[in-house]
Amino acid sequence: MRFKIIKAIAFLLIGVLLFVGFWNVFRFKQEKRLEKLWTLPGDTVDVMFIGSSHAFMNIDPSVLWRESGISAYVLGCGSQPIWESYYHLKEALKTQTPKVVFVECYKVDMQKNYSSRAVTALATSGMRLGRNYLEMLDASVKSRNYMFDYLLRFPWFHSRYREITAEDYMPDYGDVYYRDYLGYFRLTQVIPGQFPRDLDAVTETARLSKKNRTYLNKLVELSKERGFDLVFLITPFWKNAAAKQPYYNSLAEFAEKKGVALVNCNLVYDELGMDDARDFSKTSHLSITGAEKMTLYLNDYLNAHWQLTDHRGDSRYGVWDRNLALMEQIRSDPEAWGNEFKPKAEG
Amino acid sequence: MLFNSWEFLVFFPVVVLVYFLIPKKIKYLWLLVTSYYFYMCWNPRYILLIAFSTAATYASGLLLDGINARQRSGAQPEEQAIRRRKLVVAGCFLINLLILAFFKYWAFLLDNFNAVLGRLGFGVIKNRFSFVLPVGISFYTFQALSYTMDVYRGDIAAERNFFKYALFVSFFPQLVAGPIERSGNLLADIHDIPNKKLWDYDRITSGLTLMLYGMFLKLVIADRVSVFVDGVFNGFGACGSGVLWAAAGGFALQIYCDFASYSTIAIGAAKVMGFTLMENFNTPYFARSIKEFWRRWHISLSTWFRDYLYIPLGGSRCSRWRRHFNLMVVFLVSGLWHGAGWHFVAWGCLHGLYQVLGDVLAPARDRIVALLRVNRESRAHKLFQTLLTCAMVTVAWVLFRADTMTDAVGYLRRMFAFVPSAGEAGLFNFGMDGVEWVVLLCAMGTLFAFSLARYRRHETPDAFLAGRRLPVRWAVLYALLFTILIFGKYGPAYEQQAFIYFQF
Repeated sequence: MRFKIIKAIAFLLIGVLLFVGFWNVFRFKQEKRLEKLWTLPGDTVDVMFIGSSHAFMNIDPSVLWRESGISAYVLGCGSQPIWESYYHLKEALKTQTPKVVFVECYKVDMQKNYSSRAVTALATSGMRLGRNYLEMLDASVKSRNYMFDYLLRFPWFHSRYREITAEDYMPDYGDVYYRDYLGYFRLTQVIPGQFPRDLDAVTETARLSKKNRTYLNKLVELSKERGFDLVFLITPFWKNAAAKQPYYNSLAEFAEKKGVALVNCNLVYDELGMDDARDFSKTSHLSITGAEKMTLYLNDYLNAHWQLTDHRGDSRYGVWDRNLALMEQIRSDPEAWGNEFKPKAEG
Repeated sequence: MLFNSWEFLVFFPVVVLVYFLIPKKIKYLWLLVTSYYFYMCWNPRYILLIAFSTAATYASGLLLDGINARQRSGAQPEEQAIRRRKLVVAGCFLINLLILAFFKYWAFLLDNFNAVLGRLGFGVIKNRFSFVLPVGISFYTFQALSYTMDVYRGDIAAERNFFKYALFVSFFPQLVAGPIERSGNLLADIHDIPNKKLWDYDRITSGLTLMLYGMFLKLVIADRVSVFVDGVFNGFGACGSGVLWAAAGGFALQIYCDFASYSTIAIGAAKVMGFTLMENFNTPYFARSIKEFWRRWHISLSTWFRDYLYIPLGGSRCSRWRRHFNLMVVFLVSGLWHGAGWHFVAWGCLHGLYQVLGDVLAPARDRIVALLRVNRESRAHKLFQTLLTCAMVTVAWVLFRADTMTDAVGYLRRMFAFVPSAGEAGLFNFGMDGVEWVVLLCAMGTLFAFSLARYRRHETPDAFLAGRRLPVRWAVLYALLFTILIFGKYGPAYEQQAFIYFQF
């Protein structure tokens, strides 16, 4: 009998090993920000940006490092709603103690109480199983029929067998870009935008959904609890900017009431020094030059309001040094590098 | 709750673990509660139907037992006892079959009645009853009725313990799609629970192997080929004959893998818990005649019809014409059992006709064989017989799969008209690209290998693997497991496909 028990355990162990291999090869590789965050030394990130693609495609932490030695990181997933940002942030706070957290609020106009299944699948793909994960599922998944699929995760990606490439087997996805990754999604392709210059004329407000208000409140509470400064952030975009502005006006009212700062870059667009012809890329996101300008503005903003430590020269922050070196290479020849691979995350 | 659902993956281990750990005396009660829960996950209200059917057949057993006892003690004359026994059986059958007829055939009967009324110029009767067909009603009704018949025939004694009997009717592994068990087998197994050695490594791994193989059949083959089959059957008017033959063959594969998978999982699940369910499929597509096909296909239903319909009608111990009549009745009823639609009736009749013609033409066949000096034991002849049987079964499946009789006739006409295939309606235009076809063909190769072992060596997949050396056995098990994990049709990208036979 003992031999049979050993046999059963051996069978299970080999099965688990094979399963881990299957998992690593097949899992989604698009959303790797949380996953990469776990590889950073603890308590090194001073400034955290979190939100939808308008956070990770528009903010480049290497610029903050280059200018002021600020250690920043961008978290988020495509089309990520506020509640998913909240849970991602809670997850990030397990290993990091940022001084300032910018919550990017492009999706604050969202009226639906649940995001699409694909968005949630991607948003959950980098999270560890635990309380935050379960709470995020509860907040994000409308149909309980799919709860098991989210809990197990592999039902989402097992059918990738037709798209598996050699990169799926390689560390850092076979791309040097991810070796010292700080969350920025590069868009080197330029697609001119048409930024509306009269957004400050939009003064009306539009009601934020109850769910969004609930989670904005939770973010405020979390900032008090964990002792970081919270800033709501809108990065520049031109598509439907006027239609969304009433929601951002409501967000401004909310922020003022709660004593939280709001940086709406759509209202200071000219101060950023943006060029419609060069600084936009696909679906109203910023190109690599636009992201640099946007981050320079944030650098000034950070330096004006906080005394953050310059970590340059500190060996614990080698990732930021290496990331900057790579980003400078890319900035010097963006066309040669091209857009980040498989840019599926948008919104 | 489907076998191919995550809920079942949680439900089953919990049920088994608790079943193994609780005291012997209450094990059957635990299985009864979980079986009822299993059914109620689908529709809680319809559990009342099972409960009613259980109560009616249980009472019929006690009544029959009472009549027998009175007869034995001389309190009741034999003639009166026979009359009363028949009355009890007839009443029990009538009640159960009326319920089955109402839920399954009401809309069908009304539609046909309305069609007749319409032709005669009368207004139609509105259907005031709108309900979904209770899952598995045909299966558990037949199983319960077999108990009444067995007690009536004196094959078994009436069950006194209501809860044990209720478990016999509702045992969750085979509740909704069979195998349709016999009281002599399953009830005896239930009584034997206290004597079973539950922690039996070989039996448990054997059961799990069967469950794994069943999942492979369902998730990798049946649900994959269904995409192509559904596409072609929904748009057969634009397809060439080649594609129509491929889809008909695809459906033959789909329904076999779908139904056999359910039976295999059911048998495996029961085996894990120490129960032995009867075999339901034995390589039916290797059959060399339609008669043999029915000895290998849905064995539990075929034998049910044989024992409780064909033999009471006179079976084969009667005149040739009476035998043919009996055969046609059995297959007509079998067609109706499978579904309320004329195309199901036609499917049943065609199978009956195949057998009658096979019998009638036997002398002519023998003459041809003698004339051509065909060696009936040669491999080529056997292969020819198998292929011909497969083709005949496949043609009949078109009647089964089509949505209506009109569709079935249209499909068959096109199939035999040998219309060339149009470019936009080829094999790769119905949701199956090259990769999917390769996966399907590889999976079919695996199915063929296991089927060959079953046919030639009489080994079920678990027995076949148990006889292999450990590295081979494990390699096959991991291959099956990871083929299901990777190539199985599950998860949000695919809507969960219910088993086809649930509707029967």
